[in-house]
Amino acid sequence: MTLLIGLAGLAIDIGRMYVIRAELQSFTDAAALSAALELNGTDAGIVRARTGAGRLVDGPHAMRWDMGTQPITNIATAFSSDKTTWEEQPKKAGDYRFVRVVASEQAPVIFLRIFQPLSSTTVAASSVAAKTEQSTRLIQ
Amino acid sequence: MTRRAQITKNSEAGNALIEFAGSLVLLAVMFAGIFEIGYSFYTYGELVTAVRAGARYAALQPRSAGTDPTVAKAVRNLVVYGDPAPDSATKPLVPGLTTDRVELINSPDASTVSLRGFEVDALFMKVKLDGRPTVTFPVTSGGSE
Repeated sequence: MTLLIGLAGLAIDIGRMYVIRAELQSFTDAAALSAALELNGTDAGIVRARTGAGRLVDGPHAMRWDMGTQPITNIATAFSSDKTTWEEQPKKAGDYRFVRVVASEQAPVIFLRIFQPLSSTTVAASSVAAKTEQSTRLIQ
Repeated sequence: MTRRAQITKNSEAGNALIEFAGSLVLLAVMFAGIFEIGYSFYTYGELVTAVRAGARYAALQPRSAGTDPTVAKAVRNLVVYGDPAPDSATKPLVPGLTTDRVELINSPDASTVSLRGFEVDALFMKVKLDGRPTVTFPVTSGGSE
């Protein structure tokens, strides 16, 4: 019986986590690009970048997680000028050229509970986009 | 051993056979269920990756008035076959997926790709996917991936 539940856990719980991760990764890729496109060295650009990152989860074509059923809610947007120090609330817009978007959600755990006493586990995805004068690209 | 005891023993042996058959059916049903759900998740993961690739490809194309039919065809092929210009022998990445199930919506600043009315055939049940997965990418000039 343990073997059977372990098998179910592997196929269903882990399979679900991989799906959620793929969905979140698609979202963060698109969101990081949307945000980076808005960066223009001004404070207004930073504000638009933050809303740009979140805009993709609303509306008729919203990206979702858990096989396209749940709205993505937990989104962290951070900015950097050198890819090493990240600021969620940059003081001066300056020359922030990098945007990092992290999306994390609680993936439900059904069968693997028999090995670990938890009902959900965090699945997260992260993307970094860069804006240069010529282009806006994903770099991570 | 009396004759009566002999009969009782024989009938118990029959019970064990029936119990074994019953548990075998139960086990088979459980295995099939695990396979189905696991296969659905696997397929959905493949579809997310394929749709993402299509949306990114569409968003990197030069923007003109309306959607260029050749670009739309290339996007649909990329989602279904993993190749914008597949040869006739290429099989779809997910069995049963056809290009007319792929929906492409271009706006001036974004490209959205989603699946319309596709059913994942998972052995005993069908998982209907209408409008999911959906991926939207903003239009960017240059870049890759």
